[in-house]
Amino acid sequence: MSRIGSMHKALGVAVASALVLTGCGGGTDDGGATGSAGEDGVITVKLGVVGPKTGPASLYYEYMDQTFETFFDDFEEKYDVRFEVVSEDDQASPEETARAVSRLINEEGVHALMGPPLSGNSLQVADVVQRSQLPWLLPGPNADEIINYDIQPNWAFMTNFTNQQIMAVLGERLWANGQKVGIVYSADGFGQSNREHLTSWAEENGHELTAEETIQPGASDANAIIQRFQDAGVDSVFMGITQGADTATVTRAIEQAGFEPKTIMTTGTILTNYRDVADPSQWEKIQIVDPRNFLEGGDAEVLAAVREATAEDPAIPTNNISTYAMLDIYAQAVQEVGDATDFGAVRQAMEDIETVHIGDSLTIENPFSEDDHVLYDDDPANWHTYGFDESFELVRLGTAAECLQNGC
Amino acid sequence: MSLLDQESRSAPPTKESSRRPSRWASRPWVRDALFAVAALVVAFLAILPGRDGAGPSISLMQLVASMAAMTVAAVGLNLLMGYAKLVSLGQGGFYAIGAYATAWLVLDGGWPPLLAIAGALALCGAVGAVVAVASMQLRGPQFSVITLVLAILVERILNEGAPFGRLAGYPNHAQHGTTALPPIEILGSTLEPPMIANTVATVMVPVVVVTALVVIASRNIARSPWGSSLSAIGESEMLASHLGVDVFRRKISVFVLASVFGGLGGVITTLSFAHLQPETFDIFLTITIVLAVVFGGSGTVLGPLVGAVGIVWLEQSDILAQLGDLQQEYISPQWYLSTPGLVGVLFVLTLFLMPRGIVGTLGGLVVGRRQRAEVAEDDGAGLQGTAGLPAEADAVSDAAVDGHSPAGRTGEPLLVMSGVGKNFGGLKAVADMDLTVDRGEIHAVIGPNGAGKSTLANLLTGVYRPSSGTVRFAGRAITALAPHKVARAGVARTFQTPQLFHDATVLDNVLAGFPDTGRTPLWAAALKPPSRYRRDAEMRAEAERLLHLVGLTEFAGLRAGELPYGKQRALEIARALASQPELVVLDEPAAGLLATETAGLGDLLISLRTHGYALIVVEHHMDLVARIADQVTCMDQGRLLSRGTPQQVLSDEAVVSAYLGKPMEEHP
Amino acid sequence: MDALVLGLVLGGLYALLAQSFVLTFITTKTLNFAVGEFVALGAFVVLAVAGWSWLPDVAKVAVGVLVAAVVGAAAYRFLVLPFMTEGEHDVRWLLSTVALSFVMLNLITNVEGPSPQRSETARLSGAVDVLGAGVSKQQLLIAALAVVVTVLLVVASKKTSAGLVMRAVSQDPETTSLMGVSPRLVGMVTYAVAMGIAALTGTLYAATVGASPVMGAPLLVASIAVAVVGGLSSLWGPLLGGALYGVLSEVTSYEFGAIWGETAGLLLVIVVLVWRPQGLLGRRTEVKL
Repeated sequence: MSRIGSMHKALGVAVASALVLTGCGGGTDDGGATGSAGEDGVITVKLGVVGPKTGPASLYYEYMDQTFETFFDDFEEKYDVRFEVVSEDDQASPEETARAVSRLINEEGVHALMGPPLSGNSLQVADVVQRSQLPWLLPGPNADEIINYDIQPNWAFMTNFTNQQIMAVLGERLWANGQKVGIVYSADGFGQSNREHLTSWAEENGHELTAEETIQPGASDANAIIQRFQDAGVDSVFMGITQGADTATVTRAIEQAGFEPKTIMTTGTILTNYRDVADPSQWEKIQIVDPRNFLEGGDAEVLAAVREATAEDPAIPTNNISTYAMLDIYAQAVQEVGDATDFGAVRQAMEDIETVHIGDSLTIENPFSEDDHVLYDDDPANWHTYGFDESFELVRLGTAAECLQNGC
Repeated sequence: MSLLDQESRSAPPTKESSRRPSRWASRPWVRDALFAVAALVVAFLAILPGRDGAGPSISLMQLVASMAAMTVAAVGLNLLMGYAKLVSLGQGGFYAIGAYATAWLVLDGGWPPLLAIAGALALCGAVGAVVAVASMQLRGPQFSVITLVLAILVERILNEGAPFGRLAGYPNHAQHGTTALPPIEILGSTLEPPMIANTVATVMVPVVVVTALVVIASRNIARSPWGSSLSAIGESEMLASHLGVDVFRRKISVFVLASVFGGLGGVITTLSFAHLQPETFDIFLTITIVLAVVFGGSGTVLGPLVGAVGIVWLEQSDILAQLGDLQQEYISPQWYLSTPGLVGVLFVLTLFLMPRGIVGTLGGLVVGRRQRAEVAEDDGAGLQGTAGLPAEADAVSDAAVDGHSPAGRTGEPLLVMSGVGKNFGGLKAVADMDLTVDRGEIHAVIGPNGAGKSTLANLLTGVYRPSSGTVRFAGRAITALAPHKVARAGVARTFQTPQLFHDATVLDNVLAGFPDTGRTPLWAAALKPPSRYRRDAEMRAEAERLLHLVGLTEFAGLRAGELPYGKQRALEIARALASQPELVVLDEPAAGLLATETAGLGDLLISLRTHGYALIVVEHHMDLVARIADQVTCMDQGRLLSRGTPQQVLSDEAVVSAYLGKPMEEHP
Repeated sequence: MDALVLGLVLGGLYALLAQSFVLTFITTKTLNFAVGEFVALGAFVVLAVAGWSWLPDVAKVAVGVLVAAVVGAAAYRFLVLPFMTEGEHDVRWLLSTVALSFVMLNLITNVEGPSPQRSETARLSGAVDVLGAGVSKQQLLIAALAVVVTVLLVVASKKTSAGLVMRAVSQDPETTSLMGVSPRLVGMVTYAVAMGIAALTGTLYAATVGASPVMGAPLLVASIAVAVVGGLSSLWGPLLGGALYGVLSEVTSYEFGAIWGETAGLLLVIVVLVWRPQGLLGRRTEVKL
């Protein structure tokens, strides 16, 4: 609610306390957000954003906020679309999310809904948003389960990769050379979804998962998990873990037990919260795959711009990028339709979008179709494999396809 | 009747109503009807904004649904925590079981919705019964921990159990092809949840009606003898069993009831939100329910409602978020509190300003003012009296008219204890004791400290199982019966330190002594049929008579804790008499009394004998014993030392030397 | 064997924190539900003074312990004591300590951010071989401290006058207050010591997992469980409870998977409580008539 914060500053103490006393919700007095072009030819869109603004999961709101702060002016310039954010705190609770989403849709009358960023909360409201029929922008969640293509027209769009995709990219690599694969996944929606999709990929491709273990968020050790991997003869480990800190617990146990698997793969979640609680010897062998190129091109430009504009590190780098992509898609669609309140037309324009821009120098062509509302695909040639150097800087090792072929 | 409730059944007190023409609105059934009507009106007002299904009303209806669910769960917990003083941290677990079981039975089980709901509630009740049995011996933090463990295990199952969709939620489209439970149909009408604009959220009608009914039923229960039994258990389980309450079964019942209400909260959630995510049912939920009870006022009828509505409203309120922003602007961008922290501050402030919760404190202010006014009006005639107990013989003769006095006069002795012994480990606390007491007899038991007098009393009243010997009472064997069975057989007792309900009125304390406390069935307590009103009136009249008997009429409306010590003893005797006993066991009734009070006590005991009560008086006070006792038994080291009339026993050399052999301060 | 060693070490961590529950329970019959936040408080205070290079690590840890002790004493005086005045059934302290937990968690999150931060103070990296099992030195240190702290507390409670007073208060607060000992002061001192121990746990634990606002939460349930299994009224209880809980959960994790480890620990709590409500080493209090 940083925009509202600055509004308060302008209005001064008296008005601000009056707002508090009357319990006036933030950001409702945005008379300009008509959804159609104003006198200056700019279309002002009322964007409802829901996410955990407070509490331990607040990083998942922050990445959206950072991206807004950095790029809203650019989008206005580029597409003549101005965003006005009306935000609600979902407190990372499903019930609260349901109410927050209702308020945004029914009371605020937002033109599009962005969030919630956590898969579980998205699942809680999936049916409601679908039936409310307005564009649903999901830059955060990875769970395939959120979108049900049986319902058409489908209103949800995701610009992160999905768990099904990453397993399709990773599977061959994990099982390369007849390795025995073990997955350790966090006991939350992200982790379970990882396990589910890895299992079904393995089944479809005639492989077998040798070991699967859960780690509780905040667990104090993972010794038993690693011991069981060793006993089962696992030599290829996949970590589907939400929190970098829990990933660190696992790699610590790996080091402590002297376990030396040939392959250790994980996801971009390791970029958040991992480095500060791990040692270089623990991340030496870890590799991640991601459809984004964090080191050069448009993806890197987005991250650099966020860093410059906010003077902070991107809260969740992968999601900062996917938020950018989502805003780009939506702004283009609104510009083409000319009226953000024509939800059906905007949705159609999003589905039909030809070119998605990420930063200045990356484009993705024709990402969507009727039964594909996910930005990325699962072609290993379009994914990147990274390792880490001593200071946890990413080192690009090649595309996922190259690494599969040549080993990395 | 609620012993700890501010809204006491005995207010306005007796004198008031007898002195003035009773007002129409003060009749119990009228007040109950008004409460019920008010509850239903509030319920319907709450859902009025959603009557046309307009978009902006939807989040409000969701809010009302959350409040209703939280209220029902908190009302259940309040019975357990506020009255029986069992602080359960497991309520969230039952909430989750109720929610998931309903959804699962409807969707996977294909049960008709009403049956599914009943099944879910039955499951909650069954789990509650098992937990109650397992935790029967536990109190305090241990009880809280075992229930917390239950809640954690339930959450674990929902997180990991594949049939419940795990973190993909229930239902999810991989398993069910949809992420929303289809609206259920009950009795031909479709219950739409508050989700989509321009669809009227019909489910809100049963939701608020059920919530209102639960509040009404809990009020009835809390203010019934069944509720008194919970308060008694909360005070002391031993006391409760002496009041004729089968503590084991009653604790199971209340735990089952609380679990079912917890589950009902979950049912409301399922019906109103149509999709379940395990994240909703985390530890925080269970803590929130506890907080709602304490915040609103634990042990009050409306406390859980106020607490639940307050907490749910606060957590989503914009006001707190705005306060957080303000702090950031004007204090520090980092050192500030946002919503959860401000909720914490608000809790603490509430505790300081309203120590008994919102309802408890506000209600206490109102009742307190009323009571103070009445005491002033009474001008403390009784307080000025020197003796705590009345000496007037007319009180006795008044009472003698009453048909309730135990006038049975048969040839057989009332109580026959023969060869009774009790070993604790190797120690023989009581060995081979005989004791016979007849109707209309006062039998004093004396002896130096540690002689086994109290153990004997405890053997008689069922606290201990005798190691040997038999106890017969009124012609039946009561050897080794549980205290509540002994109490029901007609043996009442008082304790060395008076065990009263200090926060309840004097009249309510006596009311708790009636056999109804142990015998009223739950359904009758909850539904409050007309017979209950009649019985209440009877009990009240009888309680007033007993208060008159012990000289406490003036104090009927006062809190028992405010009575002077001597009058507390008198009150305890009145409560013992309320159970219509044939035998009353008094454990050191004169301990801590002033000389004048002791004399008054003697008068009272003599008058009781006149009424045909048999009394066993365990006592140190020889003057009193000499004055009132028909028979005296002196014990030493667990054995009979001497027996006979007071003169015989008190002049017995063995008795004198047994007493002289002890340090002086133990002499009367 | 590995599981046994690692279980004992893990139990040490829980035992150390469980000691803060036992201490407050013995003297005041209350539990501080904000213990998890005191764990974080200790860690962040140490993090704040980590830059003072003239201070040895031990002193830095002491600063953290001291700050938490002062806050703990204040918490007792202003947030626990006023809310336990109405006898043993008065559980308002439950609400006030949970409220304190909300406030502290929220404040720490707002000030320090939700992400874990690296803590180098009192950090031992690497592992040692104990009976064939690789044990991290840091965890070993924590477990050793659990034993040391327990022994110190037991000795202090038996040999020092303060300890005698503490035990007297726990048995009969009214009489001791007649003897001129202030139960309020004893309560404050106990809370100070107990929260100091929580902070100590936090400091050492943060060196492994990083300092974060929520770092105490996962330890909370396990520590309460350990305290209850051992017996809330026994200073030796946490060690025994910790050993049982740690070994059982670790062995179960090894045999059946990590997800069952904690579940087994929780089932242990149920079994112990049903069988012996006062805990393994706890004293049973008889109801007096």
